[in-house]
Amino acid sequence: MNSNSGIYVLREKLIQLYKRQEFLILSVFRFVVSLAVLLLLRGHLGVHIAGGSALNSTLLNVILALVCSMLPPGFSAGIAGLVLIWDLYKLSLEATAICAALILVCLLVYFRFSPRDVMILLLMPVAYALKLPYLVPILAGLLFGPGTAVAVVFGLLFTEYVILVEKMLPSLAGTAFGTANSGERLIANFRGLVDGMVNNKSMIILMAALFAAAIAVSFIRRLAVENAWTIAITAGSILELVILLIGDMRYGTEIDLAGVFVGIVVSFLLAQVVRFFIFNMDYLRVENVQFEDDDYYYYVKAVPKVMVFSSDMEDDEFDEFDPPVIENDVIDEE
Amino acid sequence: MLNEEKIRLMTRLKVYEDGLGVGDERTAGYFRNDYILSGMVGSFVAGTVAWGICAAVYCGYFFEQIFYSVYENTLDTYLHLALRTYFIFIILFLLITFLIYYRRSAAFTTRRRMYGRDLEELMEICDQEARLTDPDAT
Repeated sequence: MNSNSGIYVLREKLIQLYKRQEFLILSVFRFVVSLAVLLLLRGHLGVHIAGGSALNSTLLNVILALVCSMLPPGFSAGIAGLVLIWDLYKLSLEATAICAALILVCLLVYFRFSPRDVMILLLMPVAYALKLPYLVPILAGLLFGPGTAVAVVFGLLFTEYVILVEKMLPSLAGTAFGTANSGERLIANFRGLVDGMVNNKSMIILMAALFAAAIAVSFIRRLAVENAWTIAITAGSILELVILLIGDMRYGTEIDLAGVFVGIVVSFLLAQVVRFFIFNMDYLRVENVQFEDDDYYYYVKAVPKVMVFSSDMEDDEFDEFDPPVIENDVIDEE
Repeated sequence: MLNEEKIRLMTRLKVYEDGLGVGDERTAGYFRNDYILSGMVGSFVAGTVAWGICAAVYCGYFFEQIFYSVYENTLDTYLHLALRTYFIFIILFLLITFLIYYRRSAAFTTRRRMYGRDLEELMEICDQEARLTDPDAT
């Protein structure tokens, strides 16, 4: 047997496993992402709260993440948002006001149209912490539509805002709700936070790069050309790099070019891995339905087929691919 | 004896009814223009509130200038800016909303048409079975 076909058999087995255990796998994924977001919030904001915060407890964060894993993604984002607002409320009134304004604008302008894109809001801070924010728009463009570019930008906005607040904590100290503050200090801090966001050129350039990449990947992968997904991933990665380089040269943002290059290369490779596994999956889920007619009760499990077309596969993949025979959900190699 | 075609049709219908059909059932209660209009009304309200929030942040940032402009009787500048930005934003937002809801109503119409076709096909199969079991049935 050709050694390369082993990886295709492995892929089929993983796909079959996913289709059998989709609910469990997605729940575990949501748990991991929610826990990561809550721990990041604790690491950036919670640890700075004088006297500690009730939400700093690891056990409480694990319980919240478990709750998030069992609820729809919108609730996960809502819980993360409430934790963020609570931590800011304990730190600074101005930061809380601006964050609340951002969240409301975000909900009113975008997420009333696409509530399912909130997972991207949660994925961005996790990817940012792993130095891989470039991966999120590529995955969003591959798996969803061009509108997810807006969700990517919002995710980056919230991530950068939390980092900015943490950086400005010395000047924001003592402005939590309930403390005595002068109006001038409140307005000065308010302006400082807004300036910190509006004048953050590296953030704006990164937003432009990620937005453009998500749009480009989404449109290119839908084209009726061979290897459209690979071309889309490559184009998205190159576009990110080009926009970041041009922005750095034009505005002197002094970004870490080596880090950016490594991040984009790693994102490209990870996106190729995702393409390898996800591309051939039918996005219809396993459906369990019940109905009846005059004679029978029917309990039907509808399992989507894996549809593979020769024009969609890479040439070497097609030549070496031996489709496995599936009998009773057991894959037999021929 | 099981009729596989009938089972296939019923399964497809049930999958639709349990999935996209839930949302489509709500949309089916509207005429297309009413559906689009309801979305645009919602966007008008949401857009106005969002603009108001952004305007509040702007006023907080330029608080001193706006405060002094009241005494210097130059508040008109800010009011004109506010009205201009509001109208440009709300028109763009409503246009985007119209496009989104128009596409959604077109997709809904296609799905409902396919659902109706499957239902008709199922009814034909049921009528055939009824005629086979009872040729005198009308």
